[in-house]
Amino acid sequence: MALVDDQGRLFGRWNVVDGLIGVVLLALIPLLYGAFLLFRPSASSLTSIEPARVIAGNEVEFTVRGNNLRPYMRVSFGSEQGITYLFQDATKAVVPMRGLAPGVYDVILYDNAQERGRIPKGLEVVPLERPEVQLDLIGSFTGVPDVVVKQLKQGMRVEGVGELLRLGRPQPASTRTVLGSGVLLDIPSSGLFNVPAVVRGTCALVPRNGVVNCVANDMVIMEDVVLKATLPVGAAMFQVDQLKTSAPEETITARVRFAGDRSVIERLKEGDRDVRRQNEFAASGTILSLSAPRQASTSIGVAVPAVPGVPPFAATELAFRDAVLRLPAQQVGGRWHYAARSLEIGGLLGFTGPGYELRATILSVDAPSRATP
Amino acid sequence: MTRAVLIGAVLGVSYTLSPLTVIGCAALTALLYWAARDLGPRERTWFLGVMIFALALRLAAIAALFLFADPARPYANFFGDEELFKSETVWLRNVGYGLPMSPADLIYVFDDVGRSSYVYVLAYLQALVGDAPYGNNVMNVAVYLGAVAILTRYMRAVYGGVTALAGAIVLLFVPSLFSWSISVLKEPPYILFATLELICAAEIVRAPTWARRITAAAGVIFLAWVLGSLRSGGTELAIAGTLVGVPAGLVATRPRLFWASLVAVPVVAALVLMQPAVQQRVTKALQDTAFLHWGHVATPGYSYKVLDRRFYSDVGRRNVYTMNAPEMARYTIRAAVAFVTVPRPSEIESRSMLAYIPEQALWYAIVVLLPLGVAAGLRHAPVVTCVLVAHGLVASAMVALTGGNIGTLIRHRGLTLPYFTWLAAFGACALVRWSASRQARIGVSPTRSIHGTR
Repeated sequence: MALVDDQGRLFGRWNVVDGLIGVVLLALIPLLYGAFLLFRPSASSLTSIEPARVIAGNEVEFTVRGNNLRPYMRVSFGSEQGITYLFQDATKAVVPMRGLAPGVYDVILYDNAQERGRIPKGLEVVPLERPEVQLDLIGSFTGVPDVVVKQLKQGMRVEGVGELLRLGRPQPASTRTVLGSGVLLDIPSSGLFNVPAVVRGTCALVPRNGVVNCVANDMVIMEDVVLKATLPVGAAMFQVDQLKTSAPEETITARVRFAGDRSVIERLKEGDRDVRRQNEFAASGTILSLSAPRQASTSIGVAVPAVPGVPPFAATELAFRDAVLRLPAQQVGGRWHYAARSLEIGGLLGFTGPGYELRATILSVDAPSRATP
Repeated sequence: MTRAVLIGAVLGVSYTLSPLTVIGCAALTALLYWAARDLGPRERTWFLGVMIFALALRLAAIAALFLFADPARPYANFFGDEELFKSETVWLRNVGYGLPMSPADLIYVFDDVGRSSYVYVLAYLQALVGDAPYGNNVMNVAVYLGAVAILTRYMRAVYGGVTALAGAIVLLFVPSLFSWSISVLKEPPYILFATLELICAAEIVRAPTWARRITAAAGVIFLAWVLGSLRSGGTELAIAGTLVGVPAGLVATRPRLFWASLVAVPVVAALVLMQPAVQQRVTKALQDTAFLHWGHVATPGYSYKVLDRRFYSDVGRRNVYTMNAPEMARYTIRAAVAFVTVPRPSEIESRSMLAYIPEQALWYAIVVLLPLGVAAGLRHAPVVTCVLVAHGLVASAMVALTGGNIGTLIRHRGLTLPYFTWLAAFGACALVRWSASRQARIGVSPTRSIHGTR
């Protein structure tokens, strides 16, 4: 039998062209299968993460290693998606991340559709240990109703504030309210009360904007701040008047020089108390003795701090007067502090007497003599 | 037997590589077989030849997309918007299956931006056959070609074989519609359902029995809902097109009523527009479309402006809500002119814009032939003609009043082509017939003049 007969049929059965097409189609099957095997995306996986243990609160660039990584993949830590995915090569990628809370996380690799790899418990985020300090917060539960006043008891623990060390007599409510930049006004509330108190609270030292703040419940503890206290009957506001450390308080004397307009200087009297904070527990200095007012030379000037938008006050007839003050103070770090302000020779001391406000230069600080055993 | 084994083996390998390609092509083959079942040999050859050529071109484009894809990305797209359909459908499928996926994807899968019911269809298909980033393209090709085949069959019965074939060729090879048809966007299914809705609207009057007419009316309502779920404004377009087109078709079939309506309709329209409540609604609607137009003007790319100059000074776009009646009139007229003429060849500023010229030339030809087609169509098939015109005009108004970006205008103008193309093709046929009969009257053989000497 001829291979191709006179009709163009292969072995007398198939048309040559049909046969060739059939051969091509049959050859295509292994070719396509081979191409499928060759170009099929290989399975991706994760093998490691560096660092595997980090401190909470920092932005960290994690290096993840694995197999068959691709540029369009993503990585998450538990349910927290990495900020981005910086592909290095098929075995390595960098994943920046911030804001992970302390805990143990699975490291999960995804492609455009779904999860492709996982390192169970691959990352541990440990909490940042911050130094904690105790502060005595002198202030008032402000604008509280009678039912709250009755609940407050010395020694009780007030959620959100701390331990109630001392409790004063209730007074008609008056809440220091911010009405503008640097503008504070005590606004009364009828039918409500202010209850002066000293609360011992704990706060963590947190660096912020180049300084260290003492932070409790995400609030920076400072004068005039209002803390949310949780009592059995509901929430109440605790407004801080003054801060003290838990160091023992002692009475010291300081020699100071008041300077200012003669008319104000002449208002100073022995026995005047520093009444900047109307709180029975606030540290309050007293003028023990005073020299006579003396005329200042014309070269002496008084710098009066100005509120933004208000022109500085200019004294026309300057005078000064030396005084000895009795101050309740605390010794912190080898220095004396009055109302949380450091007493340094040459430093300034603000004094709010009855009907006036003056600044004095500290000339000397006289610590009490301690009895030797 | 051998042939069957070979075909089976090829189909099996193909199905393994891309199930949706096999399913889509098989469905299209069945549809084309149905569409060509009773055509004459010559017409059948032309019809199948055009459809198979259109399919081959599209499959070649998708194959090229696959072969030249960037390996740094999971898949390649023709258009940026395809990313939404390709990714979101897989995520949706994963959610349904409970497969673990990236937390970010879980957020985006339920994002309302670009929401379309077609996402759920593609998600379901991929739940059945697996990830199909390129199979989706083939499926859309099948959907689009199916829509053109159905329309061709329907218009053949209405306007004749030549008009139907000419219209089909335009719809298959116009560049913007060609691009849409190979993409994984909502346009191919939208055109399929718009086709079915159009046919149902016409059959409300044309169907021989009341049962079929009621079924057609129910079909319009259902398909309007489907169109609205595919694309915002789809329901309004379908309902408005039917509410205007069907009564107009009924009027057009009754000469006395037709002439009376030429007087009555403008009077009634004027009376209605004099009502404060109507004026208020029209004003609000025009201000809303002007707001959208301003937004399109501010998008990247080439734009055109149709509002008075003062409105473009307010980047917040709220100025458009101070538009008064003369400004609205100018805006409407400019929008209509821009819809027809933009991009004007004389204003083309870049080489990339030159690519629009062939399609623009075809568009101008359609615009010129359209009145001829409408005039001839009103005599030949008034109901279908009115339904086509009404749907086309409503779609044109929506695109014209909101458009402001040239690329977007050209894309969206394609929405009107499935309505206007048939009328333009019928107009061209009418023109040729008129020319032939005129030559016959003056003694020139039409056969010789058209086909030359045989």
